[in-house]
Amino acid sequence: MNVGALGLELTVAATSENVPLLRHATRAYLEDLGIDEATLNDALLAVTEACSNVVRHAYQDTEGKMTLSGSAADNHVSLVVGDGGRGFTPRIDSPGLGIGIPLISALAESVEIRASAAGGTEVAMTFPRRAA
Amino acid sequence: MPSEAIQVRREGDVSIVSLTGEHDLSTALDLRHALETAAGGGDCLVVDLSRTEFIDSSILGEIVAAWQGAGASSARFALIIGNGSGTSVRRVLELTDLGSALPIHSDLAGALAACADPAAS
Repeated sequence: MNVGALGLELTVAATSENVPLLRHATRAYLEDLGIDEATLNDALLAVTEACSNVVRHAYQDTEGKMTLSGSAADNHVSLVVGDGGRGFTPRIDSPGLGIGIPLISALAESVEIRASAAGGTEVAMTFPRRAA
Repeated sequence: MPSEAIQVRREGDVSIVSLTGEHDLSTALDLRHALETAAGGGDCLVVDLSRTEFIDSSILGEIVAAWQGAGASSARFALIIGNGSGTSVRRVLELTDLGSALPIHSDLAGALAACADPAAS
């Protein structure tokens, strides 16, 4: 894990066991930035949802990686969850409630779902940077 | 007890599944198994989130499935969200609008009373 003064980079196996690990890393990063509690909690939920989507959807019957990166500007924090999987492909047999992306959209100030350089998908989320 | 725990216990005809700590996709399957075990054990299923610090949509999905299963088998269902419930517990219900659909009680006494009252929703 690489945590700079204002940045975060972490790559882990895309397993369900690593979902809380990335959430805890996000918490530590945002607490270090002094983010207000409401935004912090929204970001934790959004990152968790994004990571769960990677574990569930990015890799079909193969192992893969999941990445979390964070950066901070004066007025907002950017958190990006990425994978090197099969790209963003909606599943009609999606397990669970299938509401991860709508939840993220409701929680984050902005959301961008884009192709990653690794050929997979990135979910880039921004949150307002308000002091605690 | 570990910081993240799922406990199943019986109180008469009521099966209570209690979640402590943070729960997400990593514990969702364990929760499903616990709910399936509890659902077969009584006339009322109570899911206690009063000491749950965090849930996400994967956990909520298991709870909803248990609620729907209880309805299909004519069993009663109650969800406890209290002062000790984490912010995300209320937040995920708020954003999904399930807070108005699920039978939510603020403590175990309220949930048990609802279990005992066949007319309760």
